[in-house]
Amino acid sequence: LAFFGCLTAGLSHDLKNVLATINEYAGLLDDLQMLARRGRPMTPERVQDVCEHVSAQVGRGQQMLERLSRLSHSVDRDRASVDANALVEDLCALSERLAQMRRITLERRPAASPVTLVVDPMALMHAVHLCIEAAAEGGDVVTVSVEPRAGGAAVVVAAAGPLEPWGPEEGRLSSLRGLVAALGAELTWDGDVGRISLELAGARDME
Amino acid sequence: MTAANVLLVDDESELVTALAKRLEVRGLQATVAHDGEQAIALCRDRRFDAVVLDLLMPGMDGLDVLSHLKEIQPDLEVILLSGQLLPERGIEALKRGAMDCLAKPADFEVLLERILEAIASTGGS
Repeated sequence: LAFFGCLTAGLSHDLKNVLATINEYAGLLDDLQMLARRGRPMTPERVQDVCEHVSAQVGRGQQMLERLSRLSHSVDRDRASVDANALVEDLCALSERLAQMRRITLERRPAASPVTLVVDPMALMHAVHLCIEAAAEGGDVVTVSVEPRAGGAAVVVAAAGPLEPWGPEEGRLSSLRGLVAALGAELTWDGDVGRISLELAGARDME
Repeated sequence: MTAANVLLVDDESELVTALAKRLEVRGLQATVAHDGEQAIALCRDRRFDAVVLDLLMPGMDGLDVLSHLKEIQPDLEVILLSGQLLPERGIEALKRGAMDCLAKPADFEVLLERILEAIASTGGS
């Protein structure tokens, strides 16, 4: 639940900003209309500018809601066919606000073409999220790559510098281990180079 | 007469741009900064008649930005905006010299009224 809360808190903040921005542009139209009534003409360019901004915000909000919907439905089934590129993109986009607040740049390196895996989507998202959290402790840039493997794929999370291992007392470590086991994956933690790899052998959807 | 210059500090660039446009329509000049460091640099460079400052931004905390701005220009009136305003943060902001703390998103007319009060207090036009 903490994972859900963490992602949805950032999303609700962003959605609030989308609505606030649309509200300000609606207000700007009102202001311009008021000026037009007083004899200062409202130019078509000005109106078009407002419309473009509103439309961009509506698109942004729609994309956020689609991501929220995919996140919510990721718990519907224990195993589903998902594109690892799209899943990582959704997760990074949902984590963007948190990353920005910590001044961390989240870089995405998707595979060249879709990598369809049959996995528990929620468990995979959560595991990658924890890997990103760990990598964020190693510097201000975190790179998340999807690398196709024979019959499977790896999600590789790289930090800007070396990583200290999470101690056994860390609740996050046991959560990550549990998720890795549930996914039937293998976790490689190379602290010296700041690289955490989640190997999902045999998860590739070959249909 | 030169229009009063208001500094808007918020990392949400689309929202702050919309606010700046509305203030300009109401006859004010608006300058935008996207983080605390940028706001401090702008205040070192020129004088502002009022500042609207988001409390929660990446990097420097809004309260620390407030302290820096008051150090640079002691008579500058700063209105804080916050999405999640905790009472103790609000009290701390007032102790550090903020003119007011408003919940975000603030009603534009309320915000404008406070900005005009701030400008009058700093002796802006």
